[in-house]
Amino acid sequence: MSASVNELQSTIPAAELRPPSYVMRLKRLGAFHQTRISFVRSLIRQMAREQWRISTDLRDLDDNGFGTIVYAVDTPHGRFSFVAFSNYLEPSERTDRVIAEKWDTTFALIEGTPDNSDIARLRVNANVQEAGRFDARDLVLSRANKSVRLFDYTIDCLAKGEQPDLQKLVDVGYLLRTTAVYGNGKFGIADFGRLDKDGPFSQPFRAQMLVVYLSRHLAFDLVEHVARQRNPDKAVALNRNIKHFLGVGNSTGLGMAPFLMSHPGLIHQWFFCRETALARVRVILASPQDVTRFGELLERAQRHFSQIKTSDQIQQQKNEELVANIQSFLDYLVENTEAHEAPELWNRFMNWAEKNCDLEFQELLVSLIIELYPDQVDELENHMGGDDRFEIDPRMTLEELIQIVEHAYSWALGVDYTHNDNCHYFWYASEEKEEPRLGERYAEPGAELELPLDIGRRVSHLYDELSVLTASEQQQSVAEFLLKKPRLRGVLARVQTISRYPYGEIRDNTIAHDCLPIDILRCKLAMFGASKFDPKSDRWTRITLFQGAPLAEELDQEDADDWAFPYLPGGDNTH
Amino acid sequence: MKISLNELHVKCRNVFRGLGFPPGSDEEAAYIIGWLEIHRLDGLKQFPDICACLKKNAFPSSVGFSGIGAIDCSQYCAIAVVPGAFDYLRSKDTDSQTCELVIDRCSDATLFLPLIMKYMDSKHSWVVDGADGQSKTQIFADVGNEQLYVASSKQETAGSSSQIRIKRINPLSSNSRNSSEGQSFASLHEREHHAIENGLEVEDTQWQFVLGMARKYLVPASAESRKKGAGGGDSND
Repeated sequence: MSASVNELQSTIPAAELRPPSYVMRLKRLGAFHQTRISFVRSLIRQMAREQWRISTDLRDLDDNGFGTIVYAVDTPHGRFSFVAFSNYLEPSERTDRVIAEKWDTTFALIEGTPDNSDIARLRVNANVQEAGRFDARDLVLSRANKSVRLFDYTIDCLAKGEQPDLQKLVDVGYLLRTTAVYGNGKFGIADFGRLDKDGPFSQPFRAQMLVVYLSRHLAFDLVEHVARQRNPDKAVALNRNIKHFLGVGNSTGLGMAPFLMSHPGLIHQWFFCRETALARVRVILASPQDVTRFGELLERAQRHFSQIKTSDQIQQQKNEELVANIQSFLDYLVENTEAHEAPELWNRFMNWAEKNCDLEFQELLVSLIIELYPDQVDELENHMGGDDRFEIDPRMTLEELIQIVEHAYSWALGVDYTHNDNCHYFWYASEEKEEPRLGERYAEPGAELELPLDIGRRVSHLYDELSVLTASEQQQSVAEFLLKKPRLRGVLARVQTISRYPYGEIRDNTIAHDCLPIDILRCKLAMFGASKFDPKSDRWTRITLFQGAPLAEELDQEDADDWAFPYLPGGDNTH
Repeated sequence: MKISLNELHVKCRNVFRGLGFPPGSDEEAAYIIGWLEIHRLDGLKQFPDICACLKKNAFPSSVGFSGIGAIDCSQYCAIAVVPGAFDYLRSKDTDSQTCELVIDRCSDATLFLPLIMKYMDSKHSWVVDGADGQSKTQIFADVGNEQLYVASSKQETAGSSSQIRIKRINPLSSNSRNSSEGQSFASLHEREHHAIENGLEVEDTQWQFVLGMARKYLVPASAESRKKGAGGGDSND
């Protein structure tokens, strides 16, 4: 269900939304953090609210942990099953790239309970992932590889009756790392339209997030099973606090970027809801309890970020600056207690941060202030779905169209696209598993097959065509124009669509030499709820999902929703 | 074999992309073919003919009127023209008038059907007549009775040229058909719903043709692309 600006704004008092021209810039998007309406958070709340029960239906593993596991997920909407296969993988065949052909583990989420023939069918098809065929009962397909640093090491420790070293846990943060999570009709699995009703997966990516969550339990199951088989008398289970701290790794490449640019209706809804949440909470009169809780969250976030280790120099520097910024802000809070009682506290904090802190801290502040007010924020998680159709309004006059371009795309019109630096890259899909890639236009082949993701350049071209028309010609309809210029259909439909979805467009040139795709990945991953950003280049990153999340048997606990920005007690002295 | 509707749309779109359709037009054309396939009106079956047509007539840079309310399609592949022609009709304010467009040298009236059903409003019915020397097709989307009539017949009128005549009608022309001859809009929705729920059975050779054509929009693999394109590198830690 999507909601308009007016529908959401009218229900609760709110400040002005931060405008799209401010929010939808790549640098800012590249500084986003998870919030309480990120998808991992809303899934956990739904599971807790609806009292989902997760149980093991089948555990058929050999001594090395290879075999089949099936988890049953019982919801008020029916039973779903997570069917997983654990396989031996030659270390030389292990790769995070989409172009991989073998994995340590593969799994699928299906409706109902699988019978033997379902399991046999999935074993054949899930193990070859993109080369397999699936049917409409299959909802999600995914795979994960073991962490070379942590998986076997953890087994060794548990088998000896010991817990793994905290420093190693902090460095990695997961036992399994997913490399792709497929939904929405890929390879014959269920279309999103099949889920998009009153079922448990009506919100975007919720079924995929459940699969990632269950793969976390799969990882725990596997290490504990192998440790027990190796040393039945001495083996111990993984400590519960360590389990909380461990999430699921994910390697994310460029594939997320084209998705973000191709679904403006959906993306608008995500960022619009996030901005609506901020607008609602920044006008709330903060109580002393709110301020205390805010201080606690700040300290937690500081420890969380101080425990993140990344080999990426830029991200490492950002994290260090963020930790320093948090400390400055904590000092300010302690030194200015009288300011806590003044009205518009959050508004003042936001304004102060915008003037004095970098983007990472500004956006962290957004996440932390939102975190304080579930009553004002959480219902927004039900509005994350969006209409993805590009439709032509054929009656619109060209004069009106020009006004939209000038209003929504001023960022694109000032760019000189004849300059090579401004057209440096082209996006394309490779023959290898249709992997989305980025090429250098003047150095690599394939630009003639460019994906239409050079949005700014295309809009600028449209504007050039419109600008030469006389005033009377601008009274023509869009339909008449498109008969004369049918090649502009896509960009014209996009412009008309964006007029309804102002947060649906990244307002930067995504083919420019200085474009960093990692910023696009970051904002989408933050909406998913990712933490521990660990870029491996400007085009792909490792992250962790569900780090800190409650275990399946803890969903009914009172604090089950309080797990943002986790840190490992005792892990601070490692850096 | 069975496919999802997402696969149907994406692969068809990629075929059109590979055939040189620009963004937007590739989506519309894929929608048309997909809708026809869901409703067993020979969607995928059309691809070989479309490919052959596009070899002769590349996607047009402009579509001109050959007369008042008429487009000459002799230089175009019909599916490249249909969305724009349909937009043109939708753009006309016809609260009290009939609006009509003729497309000469084109006879496949069913190409308009998916867009008619997609953009159907509550005030207008649509009539499409298509004919060539051998056959005649009439479509009537009756919004008043929420019925769709599609009738085809053979006719031998040697020498006559092909033509599609598409009209948006207002006021409604109800009771002009026996409802037992048509399909209710609800039954069309039901068929789409069934395809979403269960996947869509398609003819294997037709689908393989689509998959082969859909690869033409992909950039050939190379070591450099593999290394640099998606970020390169690897991390097994």
